[in-house]
Amino acid sequence: MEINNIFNEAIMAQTGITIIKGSVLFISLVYFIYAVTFSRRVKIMNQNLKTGYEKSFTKISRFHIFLSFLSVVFFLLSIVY
Amino acid sequence: MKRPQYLSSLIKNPANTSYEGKDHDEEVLLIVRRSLITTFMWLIGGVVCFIIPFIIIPLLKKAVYNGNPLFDNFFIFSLTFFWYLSLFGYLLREFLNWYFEVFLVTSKKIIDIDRGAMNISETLLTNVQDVTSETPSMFAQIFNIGNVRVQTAAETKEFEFVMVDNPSKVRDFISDMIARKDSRPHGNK
Repeated sequence: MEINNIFNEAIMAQTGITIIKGSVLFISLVYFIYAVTFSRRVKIMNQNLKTGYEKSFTKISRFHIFLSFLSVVFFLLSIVY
Repeated sequence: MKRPQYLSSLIKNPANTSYEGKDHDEEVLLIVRRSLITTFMWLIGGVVCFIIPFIIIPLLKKAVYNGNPLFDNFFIFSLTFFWYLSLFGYLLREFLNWYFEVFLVTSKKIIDIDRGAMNISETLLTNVQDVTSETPSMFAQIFNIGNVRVQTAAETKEFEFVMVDNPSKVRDFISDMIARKDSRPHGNK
């Protein structure tokens, strides 16, 4: 009876969707870590070569971190609800 | 229409430009970047990635099981948001790699900043032995882009700047700088 439940098509489809959503959440988390390290790299680039656009590049990279955080939150919400 | 300075690949006497370790009596005279034409590949990649969701999203919306959609609208929105965020990140990284990969000629030195300002080599102008420019292919000849090679007597034997705009002009500028340096009396740097 339980085995029948496990292989029930509807449950399998639901599990598949949850796995897909979980994988995408994991990828977005990895991307968030990348965004943070990239911001650090931008800081080093700005130190090595000063061009007058340092503030703009720093702001853009921070905005990039914020957006990637937002993306993680969106995926979390899409799993929870 | 004049191109904004941050998009120029060849800038003489750039304003507000400095590098880590610049002396107070040193002046940046020339900035050379790769030609904007070399950014063509990643721009094409960006356009292709921009179009992909327009094809994929309708397919995801059509995916149904027992009459119910497999993916809810919020998940599809999140996926699209993440896709365009990644595209933005990719273009930003490529732009910054292009922007920070420069070759500086100062009143004292030649500095080669590579790999998004992660590798830096420099040599004194007095160490430069030979400057060569070459336009290697038909494509390069059409757009007047090419490579500039600087041979030095220092530990880093050769500096190479690939795919720069107007390579002859860059070579001539460096040669003039060296000639000016050599014609000064000794001890007067």
